Parts: sequence; structure tokens; C-alpha cells
Amino acid sequence: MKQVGFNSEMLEILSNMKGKVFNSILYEDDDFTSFGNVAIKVDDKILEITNREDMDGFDEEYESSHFSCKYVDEFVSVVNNAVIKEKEVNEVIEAVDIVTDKINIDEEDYHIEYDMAVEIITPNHKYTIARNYFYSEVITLHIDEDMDKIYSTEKVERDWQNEEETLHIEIERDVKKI
Amino acid sequence: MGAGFHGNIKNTKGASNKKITTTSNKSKTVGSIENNAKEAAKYFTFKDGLFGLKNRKPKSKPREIFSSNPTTTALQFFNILKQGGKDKLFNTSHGIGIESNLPDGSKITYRPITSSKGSPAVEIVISGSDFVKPKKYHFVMKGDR
Repeated sequence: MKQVGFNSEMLEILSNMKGKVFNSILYEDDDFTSFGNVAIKVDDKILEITNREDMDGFDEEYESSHFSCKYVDEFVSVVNNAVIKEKEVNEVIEAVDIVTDKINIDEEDYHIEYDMAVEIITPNHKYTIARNYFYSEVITLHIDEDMDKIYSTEKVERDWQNEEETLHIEIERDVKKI
Repeated sequence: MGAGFHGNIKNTKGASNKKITTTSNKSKTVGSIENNAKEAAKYFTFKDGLFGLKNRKPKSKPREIFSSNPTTTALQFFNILKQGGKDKLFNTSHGIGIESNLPDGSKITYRPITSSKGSPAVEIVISGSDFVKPKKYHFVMKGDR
């Protein structure tokens, strides 16, 4: 099973947010989305979460996008001349969940675990930083919405389907606490 | 309002042999992926919410549109789909790309240079209508198939 998304070091960074103050979310688009990257301020440090097309070996020839994260000194949007918006949160992080889709397409020998969302849970809200369609670099941001509403497994299956044939696609969605 | 477009899409696979001569039609509602896709379907093969042809490689997911001038054809395709959208430039490891946001929530990208040499890409990232599905399209030199 190929794992696509946060590596063990990144998961540790995300896990270590628990108990810290979630100050705000930084993003670039008016509709609470961001192309390619967002940032969250945690204890006044900036954690950049990216969703970029730079993965090798996934589709032989073509890129796909995937999550990664790292602390940075300054948030720089991948969008030129972006006007950065900031959504204030100021709540203590109680838990962090990772939503992962396990995708099995036997006919094409695809067996992939794809990290699709980070859920940051505070006493009052659940903040979700989500991906959608597997090539998409757009990050969508949500408050108190379930991933099944944001990007249902039915839509995941639709997007992986090869249209001229009907592939048997199995999708299992896990929400794991880290 | 998106830019107008002109040009020929002839003798291509995944595209119709119709000449594109129109600029955006102001009498229609602009900024809807459904309307824009219906317009694009006049010039590009369209079936079940998808343009172009299934990828030649069994496992590859981007669909393909063949043309004697992939860059021009990709830009024409993008310009039709993004009518009514608001553009912004983004950085990629291969240079600049364009993302266009439509009022219906749809997002479409254009990448003139990709890791697949000579094959620009247009991607319907988020579709605001079930009429057209999210998909990535690579534009490939005719004869490569």
C-alpha cells in the first residue's frame, strides 16, 4: 500500500499541536480556500500546510498533489500578489485527526493511502483543512463540517473511475487520532 | 469576463473539427461551468461530463486531447471554460500557471509547462455542476498516438 501525504515527522509536528493555542488560519482566497498552501498559527509560530504537485512515482508520467507541512518564518502564498486573509481562532487544540482514504483498484494495481484532511478539534469547533480531487492543489477550509459532506467517498470513487470502463474501486475512509 | 478566443481546432483527436470564431456570448449567463462546458462541447469531444479521450496508458488518469498545436489548443480550451472567471497566477516548479475562479465556485487551472514535455495541462479542479466532472487534461501533439 503506497502512502501519500504526511510523513512520520510531519505527523509528529501535527500531533505536537495538541494543548497549544490555535491562533489563526492564513489563506488567500475569498471563499475560504487557498491554492497550494495555507498556514496555521500555533502558539504564534507559523505552520505551513501545502498541497502541491511534486510527487514522483505516483502516476508514472504525471504529477499528482499531496499534503505536507513544515514550520516557516513567514507565510508566502504560491499565488502571486495574494492578499492573505486571516481567520482568528484563539482556542486550545484538544485533538488532531487525519482523514485518510484507502483506495484499491485491483484492475490498475492501485493500492494507495491518501491523506485527505487534517481536523483540528478545539473545545468549541472542528476546523478541517481538506483536499479534494486527487490532482487538485486547492485546499478548502471548513468549520464544523464532516469530511463526508466536504468530499464524500462517493465523489472520491467518481473521481478515480476510468470512464470508458467500469473499474471496481474500493474506498475505505479512516479517521485516526494522532 | 474572460478573454475572447480565436483559432482552429482541426484534425485533432479529442477535439471536433470546428473553427472557433466566437468571442464570449454576452447574452448567456457567464461564470457557470455548465454553460462554459456546453460551449466547449461544440469544439471538443464531450461525453458523460468529460472531454477528450481516455489516456493511452492504462493506469494514467489525465485524459488526453490531441492537436497539431497543443499549447494553442490548451489555451483555447481554458479560455472557453473560464469565461466569467477571475484569474490569478500561481507558481509551479515549471513556471507560472493560471487559476480561474468562476462565480459558481468552479476552479480551473492552466499550466503551459508540465513535467510531461510539450504537453500543457488544463484541469477542472472543482466543478460547480454535475454536468462536468473534475478532471485533468493533457494536450498532446497529434501523431503521438
